[in-house]
Amino acid sequence: MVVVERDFPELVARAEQIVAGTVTDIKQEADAAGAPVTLVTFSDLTVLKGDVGDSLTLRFYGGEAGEVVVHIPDMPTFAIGDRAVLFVAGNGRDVCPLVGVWQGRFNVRFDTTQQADVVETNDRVPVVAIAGRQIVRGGAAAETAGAAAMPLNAFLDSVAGELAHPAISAPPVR
Amino acid sequence: MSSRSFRHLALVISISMAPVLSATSAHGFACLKINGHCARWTQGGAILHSFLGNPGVGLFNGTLSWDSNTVNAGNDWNAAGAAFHFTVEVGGSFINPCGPQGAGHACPNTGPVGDNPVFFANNFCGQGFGDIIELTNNCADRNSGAMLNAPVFVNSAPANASHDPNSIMGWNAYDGAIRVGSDNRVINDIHRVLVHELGHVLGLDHPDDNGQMVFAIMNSRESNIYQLQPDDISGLFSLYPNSNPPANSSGGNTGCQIAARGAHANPANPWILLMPTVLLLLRPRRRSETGQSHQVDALRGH
Repeated sequence: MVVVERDFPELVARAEQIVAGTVTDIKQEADAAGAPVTLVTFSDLTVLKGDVGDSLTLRFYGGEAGEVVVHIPDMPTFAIGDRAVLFVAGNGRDVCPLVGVWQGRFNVRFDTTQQADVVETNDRVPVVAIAGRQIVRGGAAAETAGAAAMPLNAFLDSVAGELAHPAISAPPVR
Repeated sequence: MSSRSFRHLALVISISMAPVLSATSAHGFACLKINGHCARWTQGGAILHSFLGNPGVGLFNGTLSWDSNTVNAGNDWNAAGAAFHFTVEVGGSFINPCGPQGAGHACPNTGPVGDNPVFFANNFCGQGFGDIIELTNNCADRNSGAMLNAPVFVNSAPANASHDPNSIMGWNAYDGAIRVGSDNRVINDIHRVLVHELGHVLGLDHPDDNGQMVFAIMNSRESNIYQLQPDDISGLFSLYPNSNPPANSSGGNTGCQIAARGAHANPANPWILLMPTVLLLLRPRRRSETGQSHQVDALRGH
């Protein structure tokens, strides 16, 4: 899969819902064409954008269908208990219900050094900062090597700040 | 250079470098995992049917049709010399992969076993693409990981498309850095995107989604990398080894290799990076420029 690259203001602007939550249920169903879809339910929600109830179930294409597996490379996968911040768009309408596919999913984990929840990208690289429009990933680069992962609260504050003072306008609803 | 002498040179170099290379086991590539198995083709190849057609104007890279770029992308993988080859047929009878399992469909929305169309679509079997530019819908046996088919859907209206005159439905074909149009929006390069997707068709996943940091066209993020990199070739050989694997793949492997999470390419050993580059430069390379209907099988010299 190749996707459009989205920066931070685009993630915020294009999301129909933005939530932080915990995976509490995963199940597979067949859609009208018999294709497998994976339904991932998030609970214990913190809602930053959009109209969301007590839980949110996201529909991802792919899964097992009898003796075969339908698999689109890059489709985010989850396990019960996973915590994440999600930038949701097109749930139930699009192949993947996240802005920028994997770009719209940030993992949350408890960091023992900071004694706080911190944020990682979908591929579990620490997010170390939001700098302008960019989401700065930790890694081998000298300027980010060893940098502490961004606390969840700071990340959510950045989202709230972007919502209050957007750098770009929201795209038209499809 | 003939493919025979190419293979000979590769073997000579790999033997001479063996002591150096054995000290390094860094890999970045990753395979598509199906219930713990690396998904792969058991027949040593796959037949693609390209239905992308003709844009009506010449493309930046000199090709005259989108299909030529499918052919060239297949050739790029074939030229590496692994025990896998793409056969690309342009046109033919299109079987819509969308639909339920049954009536010969390998999986829901993938079409019949062994049928691998590459085609433009404005949705994925009735579902929106969202931010997806192109996707491969892999269908595999759940127990063995054996690939059954893998249609490639190319978005005919990608969300990032430039409206520049050089952007044809958001696409063109070119080498080098990603280009943008006069409206500062992206003109997607169909060739590099197809090379990437064909990597998924043959069974490769993204090294950077598996904790690796390497230069690879199989990385999840589209970049200025527009041709196969040594790590991509190593991944190919890990799935489809032959008697003359490239020096930085582990000869004799019959399965995939997934480097430990967080492993990185070792820049301290220049041979690990240099060797596949030498092989890439020496490989037989054939470019389709005509867009005529034909088959490609670079290894067999057809």
